[in-house]
Order: sequence, then structure tokens, then C-alpha cells
Amino acid sequence: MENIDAAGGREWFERYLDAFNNNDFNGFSAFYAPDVEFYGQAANLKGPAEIVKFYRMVMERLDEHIELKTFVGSKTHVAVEIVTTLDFRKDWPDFAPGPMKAGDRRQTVNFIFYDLNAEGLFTRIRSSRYCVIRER
Amino acid sequence: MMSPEERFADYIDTFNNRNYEKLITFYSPDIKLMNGTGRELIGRDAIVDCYTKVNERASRKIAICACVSDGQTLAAELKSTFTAMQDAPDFPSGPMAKGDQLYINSFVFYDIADGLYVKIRAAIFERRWMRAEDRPE
Repeated sequence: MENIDAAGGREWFERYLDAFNNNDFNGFSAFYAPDVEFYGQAANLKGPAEIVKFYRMVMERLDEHIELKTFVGSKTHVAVEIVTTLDFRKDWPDFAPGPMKAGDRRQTVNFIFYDLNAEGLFTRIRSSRYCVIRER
Repeated sequence: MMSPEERFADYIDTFNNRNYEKLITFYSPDIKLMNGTGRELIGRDAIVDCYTKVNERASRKIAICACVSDGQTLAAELKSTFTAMQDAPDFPSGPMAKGDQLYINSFVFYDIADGLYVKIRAAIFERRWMRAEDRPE
């Protein structure tokens, strides 16, 4: 019987999202390969330390919550549809998609593709925006 | 019986060969397609009409970069290459002059029911232009 909690499975991925949603930087970065490449809509980053540094900066300014809508995975690729909700706690005038103020909420639907290595770690994460639910 | 991934490869071949008669057999009659430009197409005829018009002005070849499916949903990374066969100032992704090429990497989800695609949603990850005047001879 297939181990559904193995890398590339939904439960395994949900553990990654739980760590991310709870600002568990050690927890979510444990899913990254040392040479992971991250191509987000706000930044392109390389390596777990750079990604964690970026999200520490982000989480100081806003609360980010990710809701998993669609999941398809294998041992080599994971593809997800997520709803990303950003609740801004501080003004962010140079936020990449547009200036935001404290109290703003931005919601988007995004498609994220993850490449996995033989150890079940993410080597590449790429995000594209499907649609905007709420601008601010 | 073909796997969802094999069937998808057949679908993309059919698309690349502009075999519209076969292409519609992959779609549910009430297919909904939201393409990377945000345009929604409903029904087989709407999809064929749209791509017939696109293909009159630009050749489009799609390559599958990655594909994964659980049988109910298929996710694919596609690389599309459009080459303008004539000037197309109102091309959906932006004006094209004859010979211009547009490369689009997109992430696409296909919802599957009874072996047919019922909903297709695409988001563009990367868009890159190669203008005819900049292409090496």
C-alpha cells in the first residue's frame, strides 16, 4: 500500500502548509533542499536561509494564510491551487503588486509548482497568479 | 487503457496538429476554459473558434514540461511557442509583427470527469518575447 504521508503526498504537503501558516520557519524550511530555488511573485530567492529571511521580513508586516484548494502530487512534482490571504498589520508602500496600508486584506488564487529531489525535498518552487479575489 | 498522462500527451499532439475534430472529443460538452489571459471560453465550439482564429495568425506549438495526475485532476507545466505568420496587432497577448515569437510558460489544471476535461484553468508563469528584428538570421 502506498504511503500517503510520503513526500509528494497530500498529508505530507499539508504538514508543510501547517508549518508555513504557523510561522514555523524551521518547520517549513526543513522541506527545502540546500539549493532550493524560489520564484515568487514578490521575490526570486535561492537557498533555505534566503527564503526564511524573506518570510521573516514579510511576517513582520502582515499575516499570511494559505488555504489548499487543489492538490496533485507525485514523487517528483507537486502542483497546488491555493488561496493566499494577506492581512497587513503595517503599511507597505513598496509592496510588489501595489502599495498597501495597515488593515488592508489582499486575497489571490495562485498556482504553485514544486520540483522534488530524490530525498523528497523541494528543489524549485514557482508561483503564478491565477486571479485576484480582493485587491485590498 | 491510457493513463491520464498518456491521454494528455495525445491531447497536446492533437492540439499541435490542429485536428479540431479529434480535439473536441477530449472535452466535456459543457467544458469551461479560463486561459492565461483571463478569458473564459464555455463549450467545445467556443474553444475551437478561439484557437482557429489564433492559429490563422500565429502557429502555436505546445510542449509538456511536466505533468502529474491523480485521475481526477491533471496539472501540467506547458511551454507554448507562438510564431506570428502575419502582423497581428490585436493578438490576445499583445501586438505581434510577422515573424515575432512569443514564449509562454504556464501552469494549468484540468478537472477530469468520465475521462473528459470539464474545466481547464491556466495561469501564466513567464512570458518572453523574441521580436523578428532581434532574431539571429
